[in-house]
Amino acid sequence: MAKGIIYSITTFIIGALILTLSIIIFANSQNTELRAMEINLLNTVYDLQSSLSESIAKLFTNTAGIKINVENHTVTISETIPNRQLKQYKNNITEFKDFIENDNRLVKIDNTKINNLPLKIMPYKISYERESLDSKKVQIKNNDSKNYYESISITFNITGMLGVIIPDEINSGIIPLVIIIQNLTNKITQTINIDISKENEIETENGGAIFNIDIEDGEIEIENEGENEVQVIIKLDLQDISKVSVVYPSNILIQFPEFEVYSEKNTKIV
Amino acid sequence: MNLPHLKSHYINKKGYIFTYDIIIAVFVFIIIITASSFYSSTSNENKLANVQIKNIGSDALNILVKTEAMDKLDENGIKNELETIIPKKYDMTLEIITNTGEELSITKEIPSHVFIASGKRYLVTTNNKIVKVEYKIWQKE
Repeated sequence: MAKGIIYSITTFIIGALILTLSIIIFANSQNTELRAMEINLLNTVYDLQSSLSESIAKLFTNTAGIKINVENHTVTISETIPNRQLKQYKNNITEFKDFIENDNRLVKIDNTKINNLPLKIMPYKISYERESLDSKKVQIKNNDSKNYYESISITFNITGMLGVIIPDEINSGIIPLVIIIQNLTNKITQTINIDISKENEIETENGGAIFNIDIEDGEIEIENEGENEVQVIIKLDLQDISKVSVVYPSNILIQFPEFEVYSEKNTKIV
Repeated sequence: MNLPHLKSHYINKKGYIFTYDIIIAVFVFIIIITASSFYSSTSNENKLANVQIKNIGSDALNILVKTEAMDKLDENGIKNELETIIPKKYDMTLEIITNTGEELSITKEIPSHVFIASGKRYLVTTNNKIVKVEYKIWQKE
């Protein structure tokens, strides 16, 4: 009698073990299937996100008329002020948005900031923007209480006479501001050490570049007060805090609500 | 009546039934474990292999975009480049549509009963055409 009970219990335990093992294997299989689906979904989102981001960056580089170069911790932004190409860029990016959104209901591209075209220099809270696309004034705003500038250089490339650089109001400080006016043969340079948090005003006159440079509270405004279109190269040497990138805030939102997967990203230009 | 004889007879029968019961039970469990292991291994293998096929398609298209092979939207150029990129055991088709209405197809006959992975990318050409590329990739039979 006792033998039978032991035999039954042993058989029951072995059976239960085998059944448990089967359930574990089955559950593991289901889990792998779920993970495979998630990997697939994330790869799809990444492919879409990166291709859209690269496309916007290419449209920007091809048509906005703004050249951006990042080398170590120096950001150089070059454009003609006023920039006549920006209207064409706006048309292109609007067409891009329409084409993508009509083709893919999961993607939304937010271009609401297009008229200010703010380029964000990351990870610094510095933005390069304008009041409107046809504005003759560009603004470089430091949206942080901390100063990140090591030095600032503004170069005007002109075709005619060089003219003069007139420092109207200067508050001396430790940040070198270098202003250069150059044509094909000649060049004038003036370096002024300024306190960027206080008001500084410099003008260029009597030549191909009639500009007003206004610096106050960490904000730099460069305004073309003349009629000529002038190529301006702004070079910002920044403190070494992290790898620098320039981001264009054209938000790309991709959503797969049925899987609760959402992705939102800005476009990295450089 | 010979009761001890009957008792012994039933006890012997019980032994047989019990043994048969165990044999059947073990047999059933072996079937369950074999089936679940088989299902598990084949299912996992297929799912992960399918992810890999999609990755190969995505990578191939990415190379075409990065090397600017898509830039001229030349059907033969893209086809030749694709053949050099894609591993021999896979086949791939591309459907290309631009915002200006141009359409290109790099097609191959898609076999039945194979897993077909698909995906898409967008790109902008040097002359600012907006392009949508859809691919299908499968393992050759």
